[in-house]
Amino acid sequence: MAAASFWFWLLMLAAATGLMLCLVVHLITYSDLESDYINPVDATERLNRFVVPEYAVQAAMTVLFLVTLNLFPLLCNAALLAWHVQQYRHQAHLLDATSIYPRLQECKRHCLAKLGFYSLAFLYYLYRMVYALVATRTAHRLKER
Amino acid sequence: DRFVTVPAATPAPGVPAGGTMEPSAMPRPSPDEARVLPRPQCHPAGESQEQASARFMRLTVNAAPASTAALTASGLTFGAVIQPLAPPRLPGEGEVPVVSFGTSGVVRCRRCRTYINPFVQWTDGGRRWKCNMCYLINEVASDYFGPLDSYGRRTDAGERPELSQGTVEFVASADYMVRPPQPPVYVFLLDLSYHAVSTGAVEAVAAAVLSVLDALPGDERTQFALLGYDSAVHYFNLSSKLAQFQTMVVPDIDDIFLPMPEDMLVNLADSKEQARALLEKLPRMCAETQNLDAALGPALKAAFQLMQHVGGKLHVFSATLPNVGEARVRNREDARGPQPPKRAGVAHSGPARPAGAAQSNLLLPEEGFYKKLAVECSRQQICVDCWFTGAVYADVVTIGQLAKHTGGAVHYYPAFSAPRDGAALAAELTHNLTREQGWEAVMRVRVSQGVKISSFHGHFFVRGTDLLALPNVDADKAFGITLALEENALTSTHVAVQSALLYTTSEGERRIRVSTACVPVVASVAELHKLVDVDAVTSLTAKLAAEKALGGKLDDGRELVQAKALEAINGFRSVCPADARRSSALILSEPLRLLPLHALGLMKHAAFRPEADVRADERAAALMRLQYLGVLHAVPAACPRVMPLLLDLRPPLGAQNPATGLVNLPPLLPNASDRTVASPHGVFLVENGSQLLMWVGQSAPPAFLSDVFGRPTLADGQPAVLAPRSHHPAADTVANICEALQAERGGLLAPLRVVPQGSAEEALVLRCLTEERTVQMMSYDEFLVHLMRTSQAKVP
Repeated sequence: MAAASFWFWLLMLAAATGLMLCLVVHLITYSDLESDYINPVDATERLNRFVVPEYAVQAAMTVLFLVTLNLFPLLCNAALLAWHVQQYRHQAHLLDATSIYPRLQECKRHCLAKLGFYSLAFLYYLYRMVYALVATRTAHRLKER
Repeated sequence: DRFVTVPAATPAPGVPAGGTMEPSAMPRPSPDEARVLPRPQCHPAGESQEQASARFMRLTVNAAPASTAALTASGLTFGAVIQPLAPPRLPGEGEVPVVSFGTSGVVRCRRCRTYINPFVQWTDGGRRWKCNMCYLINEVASDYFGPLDSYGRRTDAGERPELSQGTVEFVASADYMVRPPQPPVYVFLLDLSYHAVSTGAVEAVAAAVLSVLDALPGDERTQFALLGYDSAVHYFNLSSKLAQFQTMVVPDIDDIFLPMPEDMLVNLADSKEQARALLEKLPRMCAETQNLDAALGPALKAAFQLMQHVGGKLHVFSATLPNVGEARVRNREDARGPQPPKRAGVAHSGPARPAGAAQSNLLLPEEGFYKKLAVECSRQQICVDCWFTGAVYADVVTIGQLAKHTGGAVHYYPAFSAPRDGAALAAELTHNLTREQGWEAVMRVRVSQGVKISSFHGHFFVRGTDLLALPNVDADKAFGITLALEENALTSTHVAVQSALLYTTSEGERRIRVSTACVPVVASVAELHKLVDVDAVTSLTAKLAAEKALGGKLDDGRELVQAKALEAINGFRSVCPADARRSSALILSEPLRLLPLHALGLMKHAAFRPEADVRADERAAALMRLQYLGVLHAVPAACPRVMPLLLDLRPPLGAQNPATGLVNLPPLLPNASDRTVASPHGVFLVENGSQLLMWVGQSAPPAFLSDVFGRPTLADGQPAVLAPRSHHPAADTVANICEALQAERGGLLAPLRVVPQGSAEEALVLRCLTEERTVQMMSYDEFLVHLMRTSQAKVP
């Protein structure tokens, strides 16, 4: 049976995929807004639905990294968490139908940056997961011998 | 290059040099500049009719920079102020030609959908045309074909206004409508609480609406409704089947429903008698009210439910801060105590104690209900105008969000009292209701490839990229845009800007008003500075600064005005010859001669001034007005006019000059108090684009007073009003002058108010004397010195 760490990294991988999905929805909505397929009121409603869950999941991941003492992912995620907290405090995390067009380019930049971060995180978690899986197998094989 | 030098004054012996400027060289506006007449350089191709008339579109620079580096080096803001429905104001301005394309549809570019304009290039013997925005070659339909002359221009351009005039109006076909054109709908939501009734606001409003009931723009489809609110919502049944109108008061404000919707929003022609009776009887009906509450939130929801199926214009009157029901607003001004100072601004002289910190947070809206409702109103084509007549804090910023996002206006009458402000309110309401209006409108601005629109400024809802939703647009509304280059350099020779407003007229026709301006691309900074339009620059800077201030940063907004002026001055200085720069003088380009005066006046305007004598509400209203009104409001606000009246008050003064078609006005005085206010013997007129004030000194000549006012002294306690015209020719001349000033400002000016020396309103007059030093801001002289020193340090 695979070690607990494998399941842990699998969970983180799934969470990272979920976060990336949130951001992809964001990007699609932004490009729909630009090409006039959706009006700003509906767009902001759709986007605001995903913001707080994304923050919550990312916060949960950071806490889990803290609990399991994985320092490198902890530091990276803590930085992002700090930025999220800053946004929340300034009430800038939710989008407003009246100001979405002027802020569109800025929001897209943030989205792409976070998507890049989550993609790298995804690859890192994948690596750790596979490592955990292979390490367990190797440990078992060594034990059997 | 033509430029203006303002030399520093030769100092007296013993005085350090460079302390003041040469008084005679300080730039002041000429009478024509004060009238905001378009300057010759507004149209680089001469007074060509091909360009959009200056009243519709004014570019800050009548040329496009060839590169971003050139634009930054020049220090200018590249943008435009667009006023799509501007009425004709000056002699020579006429109506906009209407063009109907019939079944073939309006001729537009296939790719970018630009409307045909005088600046397109015709190719292939007239069979094709090249769009001047996206440079696509379009085919010419056979019924639109016309031969070209030897210059490549259409020979039939004279018969086709869309090919020879910069501003045309197209008749829109059914493709441009999502629903049949809406009828004009006027809904009034009156505050019937004690404060509104006892100050006479209800009576003034009812009388004003009654007086224009027959003159409301529209036809037999016009609809009308009136609602009232205090602690309950008052509905009025105006059905034409009833002999008398009926009132229904619904105290349940938590669950809003409309008792009889079809009978409340009625056809005005059918129910004219009922509406008239209601407006006549309403003040008497609520005269005895002791109700101190205002349920504005529920009342707004009721009005929204009433209008949402058709849209229209909603006028909301508020005299009491909403304190019951949903969307209560708390009194933020009293809640906070005295605030510590934030930081010393740049142009501040004297002890640094700006009111910035205390006022900045009061400029941010608090309750989110009004913004959400505004967005919903915009979707249903409802435009909201807000009228505030309260004595205490009215939270103009929060409730004004209704106007801001629906394209409406904000009017503020602090401590309204009918004897003093009744005439002004009636005049403004009458002007608001009878001016030209466009219903269920959208506006799109297109620019040539290579240039993009960075931002829009004004009151609207952004519904799409470069698309503004305007449920109701009227003759006074103007929008500012800032332009930027997409890449770092422009390869084309000309840049065109086209604004297209698709709207329904009050007669139910769907029209598209298209204004096109085409400017050459220039590479040198000096060329850019030659073609600047200082009025447009002031107006756009005011909009940018107002937006910053309303974002919570009042001091930043004020400093933006000064920073932009300094950048422009430095930009011009960098291309001046070295020997001119070595002299101890401030160098200004000829078109930007008045920029320092405008900048200083704007910083001392009620909207931006750091002194604490302006309350948050007045400031918010002033900022919003700067945002949605155009050049005709911003320039006099930045540079008020002062005219003496102790002259020979007979024609030709006050009469029309046959050569120019303009009325002869008294000469302008500088906005300083040394010769005018200091003298108790003086009488002068002050006009700043929103107010017209006559300051009368304590010892003004009794002969003048009896000629103009009908009595030898104003100190007898009676209200100071002008004598009727027939009383004396001088009174007639003064009345003519006031009328001419009103016409020049397009009806935005309040009626004349006489301010005797020592009265409470004297502060309003003193505020207009922008060249004077105030508690925290420099005088004009000191400001010029400051600019000179700073630009000398930056560009030696």
